[in-house]
Amino acid sequence: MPEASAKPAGVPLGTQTTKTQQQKGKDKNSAGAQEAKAMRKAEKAARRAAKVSELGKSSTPPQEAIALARVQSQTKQSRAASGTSNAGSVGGGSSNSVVNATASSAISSLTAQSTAIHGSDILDKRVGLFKHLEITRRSGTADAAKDIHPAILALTLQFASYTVIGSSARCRATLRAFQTVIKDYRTPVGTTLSRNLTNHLSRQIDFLKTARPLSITMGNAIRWLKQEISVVSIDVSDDQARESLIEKIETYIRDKIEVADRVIVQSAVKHIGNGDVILAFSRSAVVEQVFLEANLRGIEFSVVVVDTRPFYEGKEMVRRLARAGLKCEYVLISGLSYVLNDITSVFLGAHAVLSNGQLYSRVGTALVAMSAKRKNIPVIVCCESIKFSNRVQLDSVTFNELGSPDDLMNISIDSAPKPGPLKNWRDLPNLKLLNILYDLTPPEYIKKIVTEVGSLPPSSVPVIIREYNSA
Amino acid sequence: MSTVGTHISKEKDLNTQIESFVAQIKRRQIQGSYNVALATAQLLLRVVSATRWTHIDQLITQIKMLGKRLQSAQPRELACGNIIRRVLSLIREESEDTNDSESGDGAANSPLITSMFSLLSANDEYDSSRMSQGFGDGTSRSIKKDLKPYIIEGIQELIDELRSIDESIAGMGVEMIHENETILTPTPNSRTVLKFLLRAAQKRKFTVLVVEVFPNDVEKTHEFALKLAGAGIETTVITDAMVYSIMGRVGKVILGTNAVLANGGLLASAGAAMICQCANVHRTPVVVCTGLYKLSPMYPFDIESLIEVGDTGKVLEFEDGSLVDKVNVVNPLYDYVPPESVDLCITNMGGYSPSFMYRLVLDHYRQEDVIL
Repeated sequence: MPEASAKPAGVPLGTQTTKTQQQKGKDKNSAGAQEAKAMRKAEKAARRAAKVSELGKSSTPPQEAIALARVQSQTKQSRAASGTSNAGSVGGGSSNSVVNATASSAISSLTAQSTAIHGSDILDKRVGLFKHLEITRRSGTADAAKDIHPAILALTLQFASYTVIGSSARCRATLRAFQTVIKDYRTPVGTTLSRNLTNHLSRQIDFLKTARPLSITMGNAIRWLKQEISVVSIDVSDDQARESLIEKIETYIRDKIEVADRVIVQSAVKHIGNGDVILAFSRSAVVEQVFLEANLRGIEFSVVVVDTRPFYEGKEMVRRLARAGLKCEYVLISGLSYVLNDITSVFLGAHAVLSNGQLYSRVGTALVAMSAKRKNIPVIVCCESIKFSNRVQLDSVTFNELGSPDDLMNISIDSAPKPGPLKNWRDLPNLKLLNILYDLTPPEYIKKIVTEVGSLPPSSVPVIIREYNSA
Repeated sequence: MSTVGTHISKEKDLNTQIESFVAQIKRRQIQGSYNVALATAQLLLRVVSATRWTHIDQLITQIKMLGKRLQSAQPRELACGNIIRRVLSLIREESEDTNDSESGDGAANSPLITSMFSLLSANDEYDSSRMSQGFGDGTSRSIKKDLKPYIIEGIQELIDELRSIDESIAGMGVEMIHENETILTPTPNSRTVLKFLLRAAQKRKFTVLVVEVFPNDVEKTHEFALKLAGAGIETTVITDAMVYSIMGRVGKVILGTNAVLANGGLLASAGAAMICQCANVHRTPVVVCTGLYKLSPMYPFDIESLIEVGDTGKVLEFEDGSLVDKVNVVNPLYDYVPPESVDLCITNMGGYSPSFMYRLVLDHYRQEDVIL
């Protein structure tokens, strides 16, 4: 989502700070009343928890889930309404959840027992195979430490509500937020910028991680940025250092994402010929650009977009392609084998490509690649080299990201949530919903990876990583 | 006069019954191959008991005509044609049995082929001898009198078989599932699979991964999961896209189907082909639970014509006008699963390899009835 990420997070910043300031002011003014209220709530919660433990099961969904659902539905609604005020809507959503989160944090700090019970209740609903993965979905920013920059607070909420989604978009948004952080950063007396700024950024990053785990691209960018900070000379003045870092980040975004995308598009567009029917899965910003470029060049081809629950990212892509006048077909992944007969090639995006050649991408990618391979349809992956990772992994279970299971309960296909028969799924002890976000596509399904440093087979990924790291 | 009058009114009554049945399957008021099969068998029972015939071939032609009508009403519901063919083969069998016993010339009529030599010559002779027998001797009247109760009894047995099918399939559940196994099912709208799992759960403790098969019948899918969980089975609902990532941990894929074709291929709900392929890649066994009434003598020469396409409003909401106008949306309801993707078919007659299905077809249907 390049638009959302390209937008500087300035709009919500104002509202965000004022909201938190108001909150703080209120806290100071009526600290006593607030505390009493919190105590009463905590007592109630403890009583409820005792009742729950007696019954052996809980009938109330966790607070976090409710707050989260509220943020999501609000952002979704406002997105549908205006379409452009993404950032603003997150601000609006957060104000609501801030209140909720203060209540829940007060409870949790006062009655450790009740949260322990609630905690185990959430654990019970986790699928055995994936218990090692944590659900880190933040719903508010009220418990944020003082030194977390408002730009980071806003971004965290945007990540948590999936308003900013997609690994390049997230990387870009993070780097832009870091630019603001660095701009507002003042080195405390007695330390140097090169030492203290890294710590300061680490705090910001830790907070970002509470929304969603870092993407591979973000990890790579952060590693690079820390390296850049550490080599800032002590002799350079703070102003100069900040300026040069902001400049460097700008160059990094341009080189590693924007220019890289352009190079990939130029290279990948050669794989589209007249009369081709090309299949794409979910949404990838760079694959979308490839199609748009091919269309601009006057190539007559059509695109089949295969989409999946619960994000329906492909819908956004098909919307943009259709607007550009491309001939499109839209199908959900259950209909994959029905549309596959006419396909000439498959274009896939990536979240990351691992060192053993495995493609780590939106869940469902592996199924698409497998089906294509079975029919001898070439699978082409478009991927910036910033997405290459040193990590190795053999299956999708050991490392993955869990989404909210409640997303599966919703059976609507548009922005208005519609709970299906599973709306009370938390009451049934044996029932679980699994929502993982990524899967791993084995290298043998991939014909070619198109990157800005050239096209290569999956087996050559470690070569690029080595060259890239040594450069 | 009065008997003729009742006969005419009976025939009228029958005609309206057939009309309403055709309308019902056209409008999908009877859905699911089991319901269609049962309704067809019951209709045939009424047809056979109400029809008068002087020669058995008249009855056969009449039922064939009816079968043609029913099939054109819903060409993709193969269960309907299957039941018609089952009844036809039953009628033929009964008539041959009587012929045999009457003519006392069992050896000539026997369909058993004893030597390779007769493979080439027997068929023509067999047919012509039967034809001549049928029209030649004056036994037709006695056949008519004798046959009706037998045919009705046969259809009644068929209906009983249909009713007990899920039970006999479910009985094999314990043999198929071991303790602590993880089962994945890509067809959660199948009542056969539901009963199979529920029965197995009485003796075994296992986990079931329910694939949603979005967007068709999601409500049913979710209710399926609720039922399993309610019965104490560890149940996890996953989306269609997650199948590949979790297949490595799955012990068996158990699916229901809408039809089994003569080559052992399946017509199952959308997504099944992809999931079975995924199971093949991971060397996970694929087990199909099906009643024999779903076994069709057709071969899938034209796969696309067998696959029905459903409501696209379930994929992309019609309110999204700008998109609906420009984009072609597809919502296939079924998938063709090739026989090489399937490891085992569990039927009410026992378990068979899909490559053996053609033999069951020969056992249950007559070659001359394949085209109605």
